[in-house]
Amino acid sequence: MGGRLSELPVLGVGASLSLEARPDPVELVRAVGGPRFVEYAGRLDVDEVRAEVERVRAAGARVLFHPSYINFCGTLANSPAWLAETARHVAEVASPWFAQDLAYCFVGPDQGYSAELGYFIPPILNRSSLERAVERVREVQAAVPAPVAIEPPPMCFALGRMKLFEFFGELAERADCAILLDVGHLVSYELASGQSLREQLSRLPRERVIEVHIAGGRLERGLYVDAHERDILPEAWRMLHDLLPHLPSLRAVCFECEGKSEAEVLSTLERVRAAVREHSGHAALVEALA
Amino acid sequence: MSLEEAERALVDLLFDEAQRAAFFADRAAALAGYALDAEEQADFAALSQPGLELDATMRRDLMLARLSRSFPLSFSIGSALPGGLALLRRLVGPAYARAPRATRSARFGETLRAELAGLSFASDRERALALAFVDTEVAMAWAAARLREQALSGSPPAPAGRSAAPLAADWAARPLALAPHLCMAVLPRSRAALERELCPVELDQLWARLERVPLPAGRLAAALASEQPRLFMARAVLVRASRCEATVEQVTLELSDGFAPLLRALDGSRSADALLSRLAASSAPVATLEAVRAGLRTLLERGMLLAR
Repeated sequence: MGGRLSELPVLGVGASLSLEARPDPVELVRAVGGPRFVEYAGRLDVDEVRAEVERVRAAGARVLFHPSYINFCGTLANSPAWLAETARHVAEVASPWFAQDLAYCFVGPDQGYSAELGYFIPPILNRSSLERAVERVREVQAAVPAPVAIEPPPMCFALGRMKLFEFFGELAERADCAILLDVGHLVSYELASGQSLREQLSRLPRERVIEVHIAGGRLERGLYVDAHERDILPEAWRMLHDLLPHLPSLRAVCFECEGKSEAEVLSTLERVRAAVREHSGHAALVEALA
Repeated sequence: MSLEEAERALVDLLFDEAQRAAFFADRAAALAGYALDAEEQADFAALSQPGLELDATMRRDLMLARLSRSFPLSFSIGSALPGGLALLRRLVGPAYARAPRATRSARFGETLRAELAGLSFASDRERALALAFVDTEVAMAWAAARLREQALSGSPPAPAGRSAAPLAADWAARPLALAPHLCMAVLPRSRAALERELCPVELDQLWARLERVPLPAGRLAAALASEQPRLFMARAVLVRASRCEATVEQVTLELSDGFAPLLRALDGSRSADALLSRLAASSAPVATLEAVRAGLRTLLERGMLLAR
């Protein structure tokens, strides 16, 4: 995997959008200062998104498929049929990698979307959970024709006493996979657990981090809640600025902006690019902003 | 290690308010029913109450917001009853989360119907009228669930549009039958009109609205005060199917309740012409015959009936 990760394309700064809603991804891609790639949280069936994906690609942007139905942790295995359809989806849209939050998306007998449980259920951060997560990630890797990246999910609580980067670091090393860091989710972990991630950085295999997300959020009862339609909180910007210098293999920074206006998206993308120029030490990523 | 048991405990805590309260009152006692090892017990002992409560509340509201789109009248009616909102919150419990996906919503609706029937209505009449609408939403959910199951069973029906195929010129001479995956009920009044009155926001905002402003009991009583029976029909339509997923939508239609006995008489052998001849023989006025013919034509065009 290490070799495969170094061969991944550097995508630059992009946006996570709904393919069928405003703002129109194609208009954004064509706009001056628009996203260089479009990430979408589509459903399993590639036939549902093929036409929209083709429009985006024809406009000159790469696409990343970022679903919310894979169990990357836990005792419930993913359905072989769903994994086969996922493989078809990833291959058809030419997603350079396949990333999703490491969480429970289903807890019953059938595979399903995290939204059916409200949203992701975070993993239990302990040793036995880690062992099963290694199995789950390998199960997906065996099916999907692209490198797999795991993402710490948003958390209002942390169950288990392993530290977040200890859990994800060991998992990524053992499963030989990549990592996606959502700075809002990391803020959510810090607030929920009282732990500082800066003090855990040594546990993170930083060369495996290929993508960073940033999105709007809100604080509620002293905890962080993902809210993509809201503004990005200062805590998330700070986390981005703090992390960027430590990520030598970063390929993409994605602003998750479903529900935002085109003007808001474009101005925030400019601010994200400025942050990358100022804080990232990864020359290829900075060059990709030109 | 017993990760399955830790997962079971976590899901129970996230989806069961009573279990959560018991846990935060006495963690060891609440966990006694799970085969957790010492490490897992220590993990749960350190779990933050505000965090778990916030997660559980947001999760529950998101699930109810989804479900309210399938059961809008049931939700509005329930909110007007003492204990109705608490009932709705309780029903998205661990059993709901773990239910088979294809039938999860329908099972929820069935349980909701049974529990709503036990709540206090202003009168028996109001209970009967309100539950007629709840029954219809539950029947629609089951029709969708069965179609979804069939689509994923390995012998899926071909996805269909929301409209039926164009009518053949001799449609009136062909034997008629009710379409599959159909719900049909004579309701005390127009379902569409009642939904406009009792669900005054976009359906994806309905749960949030009802949580803030439950339907006033007087408004439910006023909406059900007068009866103008209508025949309500809903057909579950498979609009997309793949190896793993099936998308089902509902086509609905309302007609004069006078159509109900006619449609109940359809057994796959009578044509529209035969039905109209029978009506003519019983001295039905020409205007009635024309209205029935037009209604049958509409039912065929909307796919509620099949001309064989």
